[in-house]
Parts: sequence; C-alpha cells; structure tokens
Amino acid sequence: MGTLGSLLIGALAFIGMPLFVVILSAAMLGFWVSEIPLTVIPIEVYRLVDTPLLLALPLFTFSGYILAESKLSTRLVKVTSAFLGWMPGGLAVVAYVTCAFFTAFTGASGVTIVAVGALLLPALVEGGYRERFSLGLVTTSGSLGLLLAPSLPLILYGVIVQQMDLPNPFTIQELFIAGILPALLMVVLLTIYSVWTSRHDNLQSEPFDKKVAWQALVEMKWEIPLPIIVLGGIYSGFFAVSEAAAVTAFYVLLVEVFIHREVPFSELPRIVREAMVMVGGILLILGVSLAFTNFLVDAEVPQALFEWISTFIASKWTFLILLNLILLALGAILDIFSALVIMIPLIVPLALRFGVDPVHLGIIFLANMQIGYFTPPIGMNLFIASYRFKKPIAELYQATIPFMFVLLFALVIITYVPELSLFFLDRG
Amino acid sequence: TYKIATISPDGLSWMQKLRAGVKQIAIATDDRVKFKIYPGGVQGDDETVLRKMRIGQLHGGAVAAGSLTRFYPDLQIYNLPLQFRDYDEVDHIRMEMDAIIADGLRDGGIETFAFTETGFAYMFTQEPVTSVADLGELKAWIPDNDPIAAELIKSFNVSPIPLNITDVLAGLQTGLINAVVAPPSVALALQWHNHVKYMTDLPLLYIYSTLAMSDKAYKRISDEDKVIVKGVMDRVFTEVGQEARADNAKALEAISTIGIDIVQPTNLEEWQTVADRSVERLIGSGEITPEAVQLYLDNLEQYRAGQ
Amino acid sequence: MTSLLRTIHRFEDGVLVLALVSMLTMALLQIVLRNFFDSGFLWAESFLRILVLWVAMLGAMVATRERNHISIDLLSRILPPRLYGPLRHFAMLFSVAVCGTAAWYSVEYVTYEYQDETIAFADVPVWVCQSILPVGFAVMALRFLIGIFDRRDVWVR
Ligand code: NA
Ligand code: NA
Repeated sequence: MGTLGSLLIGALAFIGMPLFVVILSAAMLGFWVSEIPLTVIPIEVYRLVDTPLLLALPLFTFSGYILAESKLSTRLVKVTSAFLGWMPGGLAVVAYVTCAFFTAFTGASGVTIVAVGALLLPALVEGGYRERFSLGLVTTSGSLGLLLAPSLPLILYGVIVQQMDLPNPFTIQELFIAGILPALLMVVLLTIYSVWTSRHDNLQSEPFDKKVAWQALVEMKWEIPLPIIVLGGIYSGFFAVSEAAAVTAFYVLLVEVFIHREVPFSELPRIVREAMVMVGGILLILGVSLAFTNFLVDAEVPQALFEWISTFIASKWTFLILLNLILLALGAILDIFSALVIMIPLIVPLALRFGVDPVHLGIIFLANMQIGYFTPPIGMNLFIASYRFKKPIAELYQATIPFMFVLLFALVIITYVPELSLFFLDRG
Repeated sequence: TYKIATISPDGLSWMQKLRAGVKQIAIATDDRVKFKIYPGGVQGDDETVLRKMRIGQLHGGAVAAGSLTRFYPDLQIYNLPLQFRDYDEVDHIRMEMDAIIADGLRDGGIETFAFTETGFAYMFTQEPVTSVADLGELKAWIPDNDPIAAELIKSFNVSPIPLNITDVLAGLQTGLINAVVAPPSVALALQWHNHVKYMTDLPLLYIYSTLAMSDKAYKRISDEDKVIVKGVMDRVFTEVGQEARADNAKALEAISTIGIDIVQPTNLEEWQTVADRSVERLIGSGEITPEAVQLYLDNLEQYRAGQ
Repeated sequence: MTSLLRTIHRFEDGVLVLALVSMLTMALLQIVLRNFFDSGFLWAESFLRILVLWVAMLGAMVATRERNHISIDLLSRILPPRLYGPLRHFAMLFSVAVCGTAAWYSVEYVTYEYQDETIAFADVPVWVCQSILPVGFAVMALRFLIGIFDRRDVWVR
C-alpha cells in the first residue's frame, strides 16, 4: 500500500500537481502507514510559528520585489561599469558583480535576468564580446548571488536545518559569512575564463573617468547604504536577521517610493500581494515539509538510510562525490525550493554522520542548486532567458555549457576545501 | 513500543542513563514494555510534544515542569521566587509534597515519575545587581510563550525580553538582553557565561523537570510491568537530579574562576518583599491556588522552626 | 454570483496585504521601542510569528486561486493534450482529497486547543491563531474542486 501510494504521488508530481500537495500527501501516507493520527499534520504545520527566523522571509522578499520594480538595475550597472569597466575583461566583471548583488537582494526568482541581464546583454555585445558568450554570461549570472546574504534560498536552508535541532547548530550569521569566499571564488574563476576566452576579440574597455564615476555614485547615493544596513547590521550582530529585514523593507520603501518615486504608491498593494503570494507558496511548502520530515524522523528513515549507505561508502570524501552527483541531477530536474525542502531533511543527518559541517554542507548544497538553475533540461534561468532574449532554448543550452564547466570546477574546490567556507568561522 | 521525546540533545550523560534504564525495562519485562527515545527536539518543543501526546503520536516526554501547568497549575509552587533558601529546604519539602503534585497531575491525565532537579536559577548580568533598585536597568531574557515568567519578572520591575532559547546567546552578544536567569550549569553549557560579568548570589527560583506519560498510554501497561517501569524510571530520574545538583555545585565553583564576579545582594528584606508580592499577584490572577501556596509555606515554616 | 466572488477575492487580497503591513509596522515599532525607549510589547514576538503563519496560508490560498503554486511539472510540455487532460483532472481530484483531509484534521486540532483554552499571546487564545489552518485548507480544496469543472483551467500559468 505504501509503495503503491508513493508511486502514485510521484507520478502526480511529474504532471504538475502543486509541490505542497505532493509533500502533504506523502506525509499523510507515511503517518497513515505508521498508524499515527493525521492530526499530527496541522500540529507540524503550526510549528512554522516556532521559527523566529521565518519573519525575515516575507520582509526580504517584499524589499526584493520593490527593488525589482525600481530603476536600481540601471544605476547598478552604471556604477559598476564606472568603477570596474577599465579592467581587462572589465565589462564581464561588471556583469558578474552586478548580478551577484542584485540576486542576493531580489532572491533567485529570475528577476536578475529580466532586469539586469536585459541591460547587460546589449552592452556586452557592443563592448566586443561575441553574442553567444554574452548570452551565456548573463544567463549564468542570473543565479550568481545565491550564496550571498540575504538571498532567500540561503535563509531557507538555515530555517529548515534549524528546525531539525542538530547536535552542532549554527547561526544564520555564520551561514551568511560562509558564503562570501565561495561566491568570490566563482566570480574570480568566471572572470579568468572570460578574459581567456575573449583574448582574441577586440574588446573595448572604458577608461576610468573620475567625473563619470562620481556622477554614478551620486545617482546611487540612496541605495549605497543598503548593503551596509543589511550586511553590516547582520554580520556585526547589531541587528537580528528579522530586524535587519524589517529595517531594509522600510528603507527600500522610503527610497524607491518617496525619494526616487520610481514605484508609485498606488502600485504598492499589487506589489505586496504578488510578493506575499510567492512567499505564501514557499511557506506552506515549508510547513507541510515539517510534517513530512517529522514522519521521516518518527519512522527513523535517516538512520536506515545511513546504515544502508555506509555499507558501500566509508569516507566523507566519497560521500561528498556522491552528494554532488545526486544534487546536480536533482538540480537539473527540480527547482531550487523543491530540492531544498525535499532533500535537506534526508541529506543533513546523513552528512553530519559522515562528519560534514552543516554550514559547509549548506554552501555545497546551494552551489549545486546555483548550477542547476541553468542545467538542461529544466534550468529555470534557461527558460527565462529564452523568453526574455527571444532565443531558442537549444541555443541557450550551448551558450551556457562552458560557464557550467567553470562553475563545476568551482564546486569541486568548494566541496573539497571546507576551509574556504569556514575560514572566518570558529567551527572545529 | 512507547515513544518518548525530549528537547535535550542526545549524548548528554542523563540520556545515557535513560537509555540504560529503558534497556533494563525491556529485559525485565521480556520486551513487553519497550521505549523509543526521540532526543534533540526532533519531535518539537515541550508544547508540541504535549500536543502529540494528546493525539497519541507520542506517549511521553521529558519536559520542564512549567509546561505541565495546564494539567495541574499548582505544580508551580516550587517555582515561586525566593521561597526556598537552600537545597536542604528543597529536599525536605519535596519529600513532603512531591506526591501531592504527582497526584494532581494524575488527576489531570498525566503520569509522572520522580521529579528531576534542574537546580536553583541565579541571575547573570553585565552590570552588578545587588539591590532591587538595580533591577530597573535590566533587559532580561525570558522564554517565549511563558506568561508566568513574564508576570514574575515584571513584578521585579525588569523589562522582560521574550526570546527563543537558541537566540539568547546572540541576544547577549548584541545587547538585546543584558541579563539571564538560569542554573549555573545551564549558563555554562550554553556558553552564556562568556557574555556576562556578574552573578548575584541569590537562588531566585527552583527549576525542575519530569518524565510525563499520558495516562492513556500508561494504562496499557500491566500492573506487574508498571512496578518495573516505575522502579527503574524513578531510580533513573532521581539519579539524574542528583547529578544535576553536583553539576551545579561544580559550575558555581568554576564560575568564580572564569572571571565572573559573584556579588552579594544587599537588603534581603526588600528582595523578599518584592518576591512575596509577586506570589500574591500569581494567586490573584488565578495562576495558582491560595490553598496550595499556603500548604507549601506552612510546610516550609514548620521545617524552619524545627531547625 | 461573479460579483460576490470578486468581493471575496478582494477581501482575501486585502487581508493578505494587511498581514504584511501589520508585520512590517509591528517589527519596526518593536525596534524603535526597544532601542530608544527600552521597552516593547511582550506579545509582539508571538504576534509576528503568527502573522507569518497567516501569510503562509493566505498567500497559498491566493496562489491556489491563480494556479500559481510551485510545481515540478516535467510532463505537461511533453504529453499530448488527449492524455494530459484526464491525468490533470485526476491530479486535481487528488488535491481536493488531500486538502480536504488536511482541513478535516485541522478542525480536530483546533477543537483540542479550544477545549484546552491555551493562550497564544496577550488574551488571544491559540485556537483563534490556528483557525486559518482549517479555513485555508478547506478553501484550497474548494478551489481545486472548481478547477476540475473549469475547462480553461491550467496548473501552471
Ligand atoms: Na525545533
Ligand atoms: Na534546474
């Protein structure tokens, strides 16, 4: 009965039944088979209330939606190109840095490609880069800031793992700090690749102009404090994460609605509504996955899985190889939120028993997911880029493949050099 | 199989004791009574564990006594501020009154075993606190969703800051809170001691916990097996309490060697007056019955008179 | 009928927007009170967290109305419509059953908390905070049911 039900639920998942129904029904099936009253389901969903960190999710998402509606993308491109444009391969660096920053703030919703990518693509082509390269670059960059605070998937990883009450817990600040060097590594490797691959192209670079740079800075003056509020506030411990989220939302509202006036006040209800529908969907998935996780815990599935896996895997390093292969495969067919809520409850206890630090694991997990955003066949960014730039999806597959190899190389380093993630942290 | 849960992480020494006890019960009852333990809060906090006991997913939980007030409010008599003066008084009163509390809980549908001492909670602060007036400057942590703690702390004129226990460390680091009230061993274990400078030498309140089973589940055990279960569990949890007392004594010693100044309270009468007033308030708000408090105080007075 | 429906939808949207506005206001107020006046509302933290639950359920209700849920959806692009149509209907029916069951057990849960008279914060009982669970699941079940009879309906926009 259990097997039959699981197969049915799996099949329905692939024809597009909402993910929350998939997880909810799996939890119900599990509890039913274990003869536990299904009243446990609302009890577990209600545990959303036990997670103080969750408050940050709606507030940061709201800020991201407002920023996406403003002209921040234009200002951001201007500033970065004024300051970084003179470097060899400068324009590519501009694209990477801008996208990473924008994605960190707006979440991995594809908005980076739509808002920033659309500005950068013509600029890159005009600057002498080949079109296919440029296309691949902006599509790849659409998920580049995933490891940087306050990106939604990063917070979500923290939330889900904290719910599990690990023997060696971590704070969300530690997770935020852990993402910095790996993200930097990705940008550096991508830059090296960009410079090398376009060494024969006649690239134009923009000489540094003090006046232009100053002008760009002045235009950005209201948004420049933003990373200081969020990152400075959180990293220094001055704000709790949810407080930083509230202050950010307030500040963004003030700047984009009342100072820049780029987001009309009358549009706010629509924006809030759109943001909250997206957050609501994610939160409910999170809620029902608490129930599903509880079934796994109650039935001691992670232990059984560990016993089984340790019959053919002994070392942490072979485990990590397997982990990366599984996550890459999952990243290719699942979207990031599905992958997070389905895999974390199974993988985290397993990884801990193989001696992987949960913070390092989070970075590995998200680095895999970041690549999954543009892995064929279901990379979400591939579809968004195809739609936005009116290119056939096959052309995007080809354009992004070299970038994928660069990031896979970065992934290997991130996986096997835990110090990269844990360097600034005091974690034994 | 009886499923019991706790928020305590696995690997603590008391968990090993519990596991050993559970094994012993299984052997002595020929596997008729088996327990499965879910440590580390994987089944949720105390509140969630109690909800799951109600629906029958879980059959018991090792929970803080304070979380059981809905089954028998008067179990809070031991938690009243500044009533016990030392562990001798605790031992005497508990001998007299533990059974009354256990009976009260049984009437409420909860079967308990020997109560386990967590210990006297002391105040750890970043500025020295000796008089009641010093308390006005404090932003003290209280567990979230604990109206009684909030009520208590307010009668001491302290600003209560409700936080999840996992956020307390960050709260101390950022100055969100500047005081915690906890048993010394807990303050050490959770690393709070690194962010406070003073401890006021005043046993503010007595904290205890217990293994609670729903009576629905407990009734399923046969009478002869009950004797075995009760015998083993009572022994385990008594030992755990004794160990906690030793740990607290060690922690108190350690505290003075790691740079925390132990300050002596001045004007003890004033402290007592405020504490007694807060007891009155608890009675007034119906959180606890006057009869139970009176019985407790009478017992205490009798004991003191005999000293 | 359609105008009644529209009113309900606008009300639903309104409550959702209001939930975020109260969340933001409350969180800011709490920061200001704490940092400048050394005070704050004791119940604010609990209230904020319950708002998160309400945003979750209300947002998901609206997402169900608009078929805007996250889904895996590998086959809708591949399967021929003749095959996909009936499968989709079956999945909808399945979703009705699942959400309906969740609603049913949520009612039971809320009833327990009602009997126990547990308090969430200030004088607000827990069952009131939880009431969004049965309501939300029931509304979603209803919306999937309507979807079965709506020919234009699709899973994913
Ligand atoms: Na938890
Ligand atoms: Na993908």
